[in-house]
Parts: sequence; C-alpha cells; structure tokens
Amino acid sequence: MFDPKRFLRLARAQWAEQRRAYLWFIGIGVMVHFVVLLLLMSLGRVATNSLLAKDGQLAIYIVGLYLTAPIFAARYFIAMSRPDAAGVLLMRPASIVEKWLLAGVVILLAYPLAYTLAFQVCNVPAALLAQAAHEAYLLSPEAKSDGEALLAYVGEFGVMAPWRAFAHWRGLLTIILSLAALQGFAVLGSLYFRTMPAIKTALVAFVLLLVILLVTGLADARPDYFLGYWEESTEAIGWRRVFHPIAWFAIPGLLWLGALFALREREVA
Amino acid sequence: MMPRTLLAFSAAIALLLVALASPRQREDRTHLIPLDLQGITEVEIRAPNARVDLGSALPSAVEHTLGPDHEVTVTRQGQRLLIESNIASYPTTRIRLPVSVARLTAKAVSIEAHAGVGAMEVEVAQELEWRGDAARLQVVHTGAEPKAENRDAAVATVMTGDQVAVATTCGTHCMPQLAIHHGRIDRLDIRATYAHVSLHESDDIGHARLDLGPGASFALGRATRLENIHLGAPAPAAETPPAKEIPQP
Repeated sequence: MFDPKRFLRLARAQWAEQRRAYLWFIGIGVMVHFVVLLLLMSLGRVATNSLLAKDGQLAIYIVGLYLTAPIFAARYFIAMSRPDAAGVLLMRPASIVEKWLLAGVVILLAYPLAYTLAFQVCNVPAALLAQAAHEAYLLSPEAKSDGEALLAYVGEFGVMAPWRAFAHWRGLLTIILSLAALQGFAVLGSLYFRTMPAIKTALVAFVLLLVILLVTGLADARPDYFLGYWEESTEAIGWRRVFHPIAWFAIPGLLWLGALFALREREVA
Repeated sequence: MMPRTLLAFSAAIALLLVALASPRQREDRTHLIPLDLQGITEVEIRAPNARVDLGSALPSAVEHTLGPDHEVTVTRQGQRLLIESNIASYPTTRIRLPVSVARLTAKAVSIEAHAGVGAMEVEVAQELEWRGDAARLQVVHTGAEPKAENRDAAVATVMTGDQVAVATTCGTHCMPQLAIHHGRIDRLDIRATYAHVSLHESDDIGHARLDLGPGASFALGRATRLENIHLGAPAPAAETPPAKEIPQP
C-alpha cells in the first residue's frame, strides 16, 4: 500500500513533470503581488500607507494565501480532466494512497512554504523602501503636523515575518485547518467532476455558501462560536467544548478522505 | 455513482452546517438582578462596559450576559450600592437606575437619561458618555496624567534616536474621553486633570464650567455661542478658582 522508495520515485517524477507548471504558478503570483505593491505605492503616500506596514503586509500575505492555495490545490489533479492525461497519471507505478499522500504533501506543506518564500521576493524590497520612507517622514515637520493619531494608525514599518505573526498556536491552527479544508474541497472537486471541474467546484462552493447563510439565518445561529473556536475556546461551554474541536479537525479530514475515495474511484472507472 | 466520496463530502458538510448553525449558547442570554434602591443615594459600579439607563420606564435592575464564570454581585453599604462584576473586560453590564440617584461612581460608564435628572454627580476614572437632560450635572474625572515614558512608549518602539523627539505627547485620541453627546443641561461642571472633554451640543447647555488641568483639553461641536462656556483650572480641595471667560468672537 505504501512503499517509501516508490513514493520518492513518484515525487521525483511529479517534480520533473510539473515543476515548470509549479514555477509558473508561483511566478504569476509574484507578478500579481508586484502589481499590487506598485499600485499601493503609486496610489498613496508610501511613508504612511498602512498596507505597507507590517500589519498590512500580513493582511496581504493571508489574503494571497487563501486565494492562491485552493487554486493551486484545484490545479494539482488538473490532468484528470483530460482523458488521455488522466490515464497516464493513474497508470503511474504507485498506489492510490501514495498519489494521494504526495498530493497532500505538495498542497498542504510544500505550497504554503513556497508561497511564504515567494511572497518575500517582492515584499522585502517594498517593505524596506516603505520603512526608509517612513523613517524619513518621522523626521520631517510633516509628521509633527499630522500628529500621533496617524502614526498609531499606520503601525510599525519593516519586513513582516509570517512565522512571528503566527507565534500563537491558536491563530496558526485556525489558518492551517481552515486552509486544509478549502484545499481539500478544491482537490475533491477537481477529482469528482470529470468535465469543467473548476467551474463546477466553484458553483458547488457558491451553492454551499447560500445554504450556510440560509441555515445560520434560519437558526438564528452564532457561526463565530465555531469559526473563532481556537481563539476563544475558553468561552465555549457544554457540548461545544467537545464538538467544535472535533469538527475543526474532521471537516478537512473528511474532505481529504473524500478526495482519496474520488481518486480511487477514478482509477476503478 | 461515487457513494463513498459523496458520503465523506456529505459528512463534512453536515458537520460544518451543524457547527455553524449552533444555537446561541447560555452566555448570550441575559440575567436580570432586580435592584432595591430605597434609601440609596450613591451607586458605585465596578464593571467593564457599564451602560446606565436613568429614569427608564422599566424597573431598576442590573442586566448582564451570562458567561461560564461571569458573575455580577450587588452589595448594599448604607446609602451606597456597589455593583461589581468579576470580569475585567467584555461583556456589557446594563444598569437601570432611577433619576433619584445623586452620585454615581465608575471606572468608565455610558449614561443615558430617559427622564430629566435633577442633580447628579458622576465620578469616573476613565471614560464617560452622557446622553440626556439634567438640571445639574457634575462630572469629576479622577484619572491622572500618565508618566511621559509610559505615554510615549507605544510610539517610541517604532523609532530610535532623534525620531523619538518627533513623538512628543500623546494626542487627544488616546486620552480618556468625557463626551456629553446631547441633552438639555442647565448647569454642567466638569473637573479633569487629564481628559478630553467633548461638548457635542454645547448650545443646549445653559452654563458649562470646565475646570481643566494642563493635560486636559476640550472640543465643542455645533456651537453658535460661547458665553455659556466657562474655563478654569481644577480646583484644589475645597477651593474654587474664579472662572475665566472665553473671549467672545
């Protein structure tokens, strides 16, 4: 079922075949980030632009991660939507579990790490530029007239280190599990739908969103109890203390398990 | 079709829906403590986010949200009533009091008078918001001006050397706020050494005397006259300095 040597061979083959696609994906992401930073710098005053301060960089980092990670996940098995390529992919000398595990390693581990490094390609020079502009601004008479309210609002300038932002395990766990669920959903959709998987997955996500809005609205519910569980778990009482952490782990787990079943069923078919 | 795949997907979505659709839990419901205010002239509130309704049509009570460890206790000490919460921050405690309460002490409080208040003294250490009518309202702010190194610490952390000199004193945005939002007040006295006083509808105040220390400031909103505003320094104990008139425009 799982042979480490075979798994490594599969990983090497995957890298050899897909590295260009992966590098293109990351490269496009870097270009988009570059354009965003260019717009931020050209549209407002660099020295006091809060989006170029550490908190702003973190916001851009998180938004970019949540936008690109599911797209990357959905593209991992993109070949499955083409009958000829799907056959080649399924006939690789590796078990379904190994292919699924490799997908998990690439999507859940390698991509966020690669994204974090790629993010800094444009972020470091932009952050240093903004920091220099901000320091010069602090010494200018303009800063005195603007007042401390503006200084307090824009926050600290410098290069943002994502791992410092996630120093607290609660925030990190929220991001890891929610991202894993989104990625699992994207992978499952890309495997389940044989034609136009991206459009169909997006459509299912939209319908799901409507259902969630309807159900939470009708039930007069408080979704923040669940969504903010890791941040405010001490406030949960009764059955939520047990159910919410289980659900947080079970939802991405079940979606990834569904992806494994879908991959297996595609092979059988 | 794909039963196992669909089963796993359905189970994940069912879990998500159940988790998101969790009904409001116990702490969302409010707990009501009726108050017996017979003979009470002074109320002290030791609770965060206290909101006081004066002269409400509803009976006097403390209304607070229930939490797993949240408790509000009410203690009578002669003519004084102490309302105390064991939680230092959120949630809100709403307190309904009659207009007969002459003195109210709190760290920070938002007060709304639904009926005209005769005379009332409010003592706060941090923030005050007032809405409503009063014949005489006396506000005493007991908060002291913070030490310069503490005040500038937040700003100084992002700067070094000469840059620190740029960040001088903290602006009005981070000072304790004493805000008189609206309401007809015949006489208003405010004493503060370090607070920012805002009289949003100063024209509705018959006579306002602001005894402000050197660290305090004030702002008027929608003012068409100034003769009703009188400035002075904070009075030393048992001594009132002569009021200084604002030069007329």
